[in-house]
Amino acid sequence: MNSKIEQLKSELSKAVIGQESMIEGLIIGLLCEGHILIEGVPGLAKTTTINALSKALGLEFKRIQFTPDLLPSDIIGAEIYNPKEHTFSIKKGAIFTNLLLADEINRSPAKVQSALLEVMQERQVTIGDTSFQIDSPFLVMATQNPIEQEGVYSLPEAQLDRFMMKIVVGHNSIEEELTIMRKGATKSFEPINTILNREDLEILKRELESIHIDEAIERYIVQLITATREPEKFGLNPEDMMYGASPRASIDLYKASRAKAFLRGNSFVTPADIGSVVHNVLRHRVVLSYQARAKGVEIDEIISKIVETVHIP
Amino acid sequence: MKQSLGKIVIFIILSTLLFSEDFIYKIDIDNNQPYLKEPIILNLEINQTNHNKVIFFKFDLKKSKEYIFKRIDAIDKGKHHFAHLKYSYLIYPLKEGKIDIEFKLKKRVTNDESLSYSYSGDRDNIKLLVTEDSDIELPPTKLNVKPLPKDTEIVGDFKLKYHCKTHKAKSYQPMPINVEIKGKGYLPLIDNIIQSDRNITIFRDKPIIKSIQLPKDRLYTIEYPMAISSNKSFSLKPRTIKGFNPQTKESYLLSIPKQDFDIETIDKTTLIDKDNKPKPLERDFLWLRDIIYYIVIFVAGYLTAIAIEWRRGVKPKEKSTLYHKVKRSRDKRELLQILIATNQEQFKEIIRELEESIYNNKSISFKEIKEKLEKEIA
Repeated sequence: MNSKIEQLKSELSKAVIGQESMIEGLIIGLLCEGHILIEGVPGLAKTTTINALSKALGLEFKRIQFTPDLLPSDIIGAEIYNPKEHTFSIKKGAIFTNLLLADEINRSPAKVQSALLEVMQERQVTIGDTSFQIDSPFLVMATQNPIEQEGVYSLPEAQLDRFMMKIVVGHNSIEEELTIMRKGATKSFEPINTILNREDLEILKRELESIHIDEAIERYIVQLITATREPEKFGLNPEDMMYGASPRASIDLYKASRAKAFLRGNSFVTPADIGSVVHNVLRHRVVLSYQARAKGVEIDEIISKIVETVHIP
Repeated sequence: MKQSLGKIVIFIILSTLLFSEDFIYKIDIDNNQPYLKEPIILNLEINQTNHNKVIFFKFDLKKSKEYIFKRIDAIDKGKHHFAHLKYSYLIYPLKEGKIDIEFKLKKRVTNDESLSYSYSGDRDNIKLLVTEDSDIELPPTKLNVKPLPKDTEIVGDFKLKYHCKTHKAKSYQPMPINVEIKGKGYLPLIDNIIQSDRNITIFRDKPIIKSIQLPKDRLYTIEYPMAISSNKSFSLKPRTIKGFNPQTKESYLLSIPKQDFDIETIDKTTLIDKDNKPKPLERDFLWLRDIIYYIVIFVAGYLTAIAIEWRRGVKPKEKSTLYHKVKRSRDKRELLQILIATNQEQFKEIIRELEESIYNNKSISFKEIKEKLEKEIA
């Protein structure tokens, strides 16, 4: 593995115990310029992780708690009228940052969600007549609380598609929990040092470009995505899936598997690299049918079935 | 002389005061010695004198049992830094003797920055205007209310009209009768405009009140829709209402003269209803039947749910499907595919070994690796 990435992971482990999949997902997101959706119960170090990542990279970090009364102008900013001078001045919103934690994104109504998701896609904000570019790197880590269903506004599929990966964060192991408990009680978490800067990140991105991906592997990616759209062609049950993944999923799976190979220290992509990111990339993009949900089928089971069915090159 | 004096509008300026050099106000009333229930007009004018501040004013009369009031005009001619307000009220005193008209005035001071911030909000995002509020104590306006002449029922200049559609009817047939009082003054609401009589039945509806605001008074039209019926001929007693006009200071009488009604008696036997419509209530036990149905349906549903759970529970437990899949795999590639699909960290090393073997031609024993896996999964 790249030594810089190793250093970064080791620096993050000072503040975050366990949660490797979330840390790896964030690094993949940073390298691929994709956004991450995290699903997990409260208290699983989501804020700590992204905060630690911003410190380790020397980047700016902001957090927005999504609430039902949040307004688009709170995120993107607004024009303020100055009656003395009869002019409008622009007040930039929280979106103007490098790393943004959009906490409990499904607590706000659709107009607020779409304001954020639009910026995620365009990386540009228009306030009044003026357009502003969002500085690179720009990574949004949005969280969803899966427990509560009352007073939440579910993200529509079209908007979920804008997230590169959806990572499901689970509880730590007993050993990890013991470490967290001891460190948390004695406040002995070590401070995070800045070990990489923007230039280093750009170098890593350039190195990532050099990872080779064979045409057979590329075709394998496309076949995996096609299997979500036309399951009957691959001998899968078509009644399990209502909608398959979009072309954006193919792009994101391609980029994520290359980043995964890079993180593993390989110079080329293997089916195992694809297999280790395919669940995260497709989890929020493939829509289960009512029949499948009634039978208690989970989306991860369907994705595993697809991986099992489509032959590896 | 008295009449001419009464017609002269008494214009009394009660107070013109300067408050903390921020504003001046002026209160005037057109009559401070009104009769009971005589309308008086009160005007208030506020002018901001300190133009360095942005001031808003909130003014109203305090509610009291001694008078009722209605705001008839409110003009806001001012701009920020130059507040200029005019309010007009119509007041009816309800108690004889000395009464105080009390006021509540709130001064809200803010600045241009707060004002501009509050304007920056939109329909969905209203920004609060931050102000420093203070209650201003204003001295009450004193009235000396004169009593009405004895037995006065209505105050103002009113006229009465009545109308009986018919004076002939059959026994118990209702005959509509309508009384209307119209004019300027205090609301002429009278409880028993037609007095009750043991021999007649009076059906009363709610009075219909219409009113129009005039510059210095209020025009009322009150209609009393009623109907009367009886089983024999009768006479409605005359009714006299004493009114007082404060403008002319004279009392007057409004009257409904005696009315004779001719009732044609009818054969009572034709009025007797021999059938029970609707039928009298009988005891039935339909409710009990419904409850039993509900209980049976509930128990059936409950037992069905238990039966389904029981059937699920007795199913023979299958061995791990992954174990069978691994056992059935015929080559390294197939095994690798199965392990990749599990998305489990525990197989990371075996996946790497298989990859090395497939893509880098590193030699490993498929049989050995399969057996190792089978043991691990089992």
